[in-house]
Amino acid sequence: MTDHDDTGAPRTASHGEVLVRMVEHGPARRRWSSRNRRRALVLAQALVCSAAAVGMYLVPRLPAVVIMPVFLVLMAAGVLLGTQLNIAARWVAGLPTLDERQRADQERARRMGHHVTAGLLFALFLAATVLWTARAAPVEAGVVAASAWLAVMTHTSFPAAYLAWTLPDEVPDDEAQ
Amino acid sequence: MGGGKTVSGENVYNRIAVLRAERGVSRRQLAEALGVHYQTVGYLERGEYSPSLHLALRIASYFEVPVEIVFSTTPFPRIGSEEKA
Repeated sequence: MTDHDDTGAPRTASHGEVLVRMVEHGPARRRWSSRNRRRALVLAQALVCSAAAVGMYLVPRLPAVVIMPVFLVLMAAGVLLGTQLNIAARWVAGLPTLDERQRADQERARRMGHHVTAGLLFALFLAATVLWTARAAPVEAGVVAASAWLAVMTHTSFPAAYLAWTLPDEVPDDEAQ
Repeated sequence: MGGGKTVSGENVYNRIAVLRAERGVSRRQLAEALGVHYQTVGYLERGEYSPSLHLALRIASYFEVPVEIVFSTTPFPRIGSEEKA
């Protein structure tokens, strides 16, 4: 959607305007207005991330002809679900003019994400220390990769997942009815 | 009348929906006038969000009524119940 500037040339939408249109898109808002639907989306994303972690562990044990299609499907599903999760939670970097409620919600989500990530990293550190001091057998690279993957995905996805999970059902847009 | 417990557990009741209906103002129109998201107006009406003092005063100013007409820590009486009493 464009309008015209002072010279009469069509003005393209700014980045912020594009983001707002993407997030406030009517069908998308109707799709994710229900908290139950958003919670199902969070669980689906968690399932895909967990499946990817299991896949990392299984990579040395399965042939490439099996692993590669599974990897591509999981990656596509992860990107799609992650994008929808961010839209559902309105967790999009660069959204202009957040109001006081949105700022408070996002701050709370970031704080919770920080606590959860810190706990997870400490648990991984503890496990590594126990294995190291006990002189246990070396940990497989697949386990290390899967653990790192889960830590990264938790850190990047938790705030949006937290908001999508906890925010109440959205009120309908009375002007769109 | 909207109201209920907020995240902090405080009970804040409001008559935003009633005032909007009286003046024929949609949530989006009120939201644009206040500079907030229309979902915030909805959450306010349902008592799922407690506004800051600044926002509460701006809401009262928009409707041209005292803030205690809009917000209360006790449930508002039903319209007409005072006359019956």
